[in-house]
Amino acid sequence: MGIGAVTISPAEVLAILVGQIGIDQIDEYSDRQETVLTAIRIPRVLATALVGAAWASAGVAMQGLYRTPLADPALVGIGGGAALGAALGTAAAVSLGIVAQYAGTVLVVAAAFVAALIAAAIVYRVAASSGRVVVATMLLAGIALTAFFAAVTALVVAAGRTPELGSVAFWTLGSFAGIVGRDVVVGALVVIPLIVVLARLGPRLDALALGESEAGHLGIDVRRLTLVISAVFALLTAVAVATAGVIAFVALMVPSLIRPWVGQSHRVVAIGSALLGATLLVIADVLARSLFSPTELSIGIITTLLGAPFFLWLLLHERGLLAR
Amino acid sequence: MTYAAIGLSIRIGEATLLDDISVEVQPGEIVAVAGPNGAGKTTLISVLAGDRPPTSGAVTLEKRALADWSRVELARRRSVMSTDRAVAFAFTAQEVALMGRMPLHGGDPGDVDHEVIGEMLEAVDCSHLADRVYATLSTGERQRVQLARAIAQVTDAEETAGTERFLLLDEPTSSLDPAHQHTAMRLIRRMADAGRGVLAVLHDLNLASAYADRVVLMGDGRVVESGTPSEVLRADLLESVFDIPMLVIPHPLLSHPLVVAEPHQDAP
Repeated sequence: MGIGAVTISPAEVLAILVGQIGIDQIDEYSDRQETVLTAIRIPRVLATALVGAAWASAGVAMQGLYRTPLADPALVGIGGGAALGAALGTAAAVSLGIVAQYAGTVLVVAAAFVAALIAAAIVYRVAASSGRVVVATMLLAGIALTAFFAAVTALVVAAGRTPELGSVAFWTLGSFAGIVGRDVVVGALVVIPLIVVLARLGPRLDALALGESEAGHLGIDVRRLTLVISAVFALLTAVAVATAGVIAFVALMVPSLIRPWVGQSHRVVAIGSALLGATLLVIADVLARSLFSPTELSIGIITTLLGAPFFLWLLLHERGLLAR
Repeated sequence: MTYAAIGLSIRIGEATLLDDISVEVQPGEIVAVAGPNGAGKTTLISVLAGDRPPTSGAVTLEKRALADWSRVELARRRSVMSTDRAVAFAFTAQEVALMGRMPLHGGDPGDVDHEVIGEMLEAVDCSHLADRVYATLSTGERQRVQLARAIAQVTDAEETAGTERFLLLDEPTSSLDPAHQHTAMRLIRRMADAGRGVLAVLHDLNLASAYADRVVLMGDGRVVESGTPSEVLRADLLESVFDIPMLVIPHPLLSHPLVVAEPHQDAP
């Protein structure tokens, strides 16, 4: 929390924090440092952790449903759909004059959710044939959808001509530069309950690894599970994108990093991934704002630098994944 | 108290996959389904399992249509072993077998579930593979683990009378070596003797002959003949269905018939 354009030492961070609850002056700090820490840095770290947890658990949900570690909502166009929805929602919020209110934040998340659901339905429709998901088709559909949604988002940003819409780079590469406390509250209210729901559905996702009809033979309503899990990862993606744009590869990497440590149980993988995703994204954001300080990098640049080689490594080492 | 299919037909456009099939499985018996590739055996299993609705006819368990059972209730009464044995992710053999207990524990396996799985893996000679990653097992080893999973789904730690259970097995022994074929069939026989009704698709007519109470011989989506092994495993019937010369002789040591396909052409 001390790292950034305005330097605050760890002792000063502590002093400001205890200052907030009435214990004064255990160390010297300026008003400027206090404002930067409480209004910008703390919400930013919390939002980054929530978004990291959201992407990572969205990855667990989607990988479990599609029965492959190669699924990432940000790579198959669901993140792109959410970005388009969020941009349209932001434009609507601006014209309604509610952009800096809770109603505006909720509207943006809701619009992103609807668009993410539509994108998820398209991906499923294209990639699934008679109960089996063809992973290569899912990834190919994702290429087309991602490009299409990015183009339409660019149109919306260009036509909108308002600073609230941000830049194309914000939506496609992600940034935590504009975070306010409101984003943290809305994010926490959505992300934490969804992780609980996902963890509860874990055993059913485990059974789904056997195949769709096999899971049905075990008494699972596979159709309903598919709808619920799709809604879970679409909403997690929507919140993450509405908060900080599309950040690719977190959802891909984190579940695969955690499985060798905790095993395959989706319940444990979901909780472990949420924690690891939060941690990794906070570290990535520190790098994004300190590497070329005072210039900030898009956080998606950091995650892609790590994630793209990881994706290629997964493809190389688990060729069988595409063959199914 | 039976698992019954009455007048099942499946038609897709011009093609008839199943044509007026009626089969019944009683608790305590093994019904073997035999027939050439494409005869409709796997389609029959999928209709019996409730995966696909028949064009006409009905499947009933204890005289109630499958659709009238809740999914979980049905899953506690009948398990299905299909020919798709792929499992995603690096689950261990034990974890895969434990998934069979899902309808009984609902997500939190307890001591009973682990106990049953331990016994079943032992029974299919897979105890030593319990902690191996399932995806790294051989085809035959996977088949044994899947059999353990299917049986564990319809097994109580202590057998309770009065609740009949059924096993639908699609080629449970097709990739097994001779010793493990008999290990698997003896286990299936033991489960039937303990009160389960078993319907198994078997390509090996001699396994059907040795272990089944009844054989249903299918050809072109129809039941050609059904009855005891000695009634159905007749050379003339088998030759017409499988389109290859067949020799049926009494087993030299046991009481059931022995079937040999394509005897030497010069044989008298």
